[in-house]
Amino acid sequence: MSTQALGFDTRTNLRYAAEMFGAAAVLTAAAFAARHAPAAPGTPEYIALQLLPVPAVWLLPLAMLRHYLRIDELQRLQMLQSIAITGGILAGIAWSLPFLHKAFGWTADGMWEVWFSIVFVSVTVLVNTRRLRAR
Amino acid sequence: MTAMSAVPVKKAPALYLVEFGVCMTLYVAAILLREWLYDPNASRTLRVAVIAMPVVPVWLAFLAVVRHYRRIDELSKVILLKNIAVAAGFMACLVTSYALLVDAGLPTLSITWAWPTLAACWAATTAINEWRAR
Repeated sequence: MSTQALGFDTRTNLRYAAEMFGAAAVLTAAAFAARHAPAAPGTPEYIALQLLPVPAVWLLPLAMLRHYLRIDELQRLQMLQSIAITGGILAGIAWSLPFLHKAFGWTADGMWEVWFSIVFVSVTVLVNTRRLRAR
Repeated sequence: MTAMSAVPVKKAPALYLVEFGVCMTLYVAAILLREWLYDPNASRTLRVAVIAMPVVPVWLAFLAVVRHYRRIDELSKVILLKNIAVAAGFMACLVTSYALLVDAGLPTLSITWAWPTLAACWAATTAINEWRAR
């Protein structure tokens, strides 16, 4: 399977997947290094290691932006819709959570970056499935 | 959905302001009323319903944005989507970055700050894109 045998869309999507996995791998490695840093808390080395994952976080939207610049108008519109719906749903959840915490006695949960990824992938799959059915 | 398609595009911003304003009014009313309606001796279902009352106008506001999106023309739709997408992406990175900075020693922020952060990012993105379009 050479790259020339693959269509443009397939190559573009594979490139996007590779860049996203690479960015996620860099982030995971940086977060792992920060968590297991052999430095005493409060020292400049400790703070520098804790800040290491921060630039890695911005590699993910950079990969999405590069993909956005490669794809055609329709795919751009679909990607924007997925991100917008994801942002809206998460904003609604974030706004509702304090009231639900008080109502049901839940404890606070972090990991918003994980929830954003899960909702974004789910919304993307739903939007594309709905579009395929409409044809 | 003929009702929404019959609304002229030029009325869409005014209708959006009205619908969103009603949602925010209901939200504020729910926040104020629940303090007055809460009875610690009432049944658990009633207590939960009273405390969680503001959740309903939050999702009505989301629906107001969706309804506005379905009323406006194609160009406005693309502009709205771009603004929301950039704001959501920027906010997601801000939240993730701040969570890592908490490990570095910054104070923990409540999740309540997520929505105002998104709103501020959305407003800034819209303003910057409007200025660039001139």
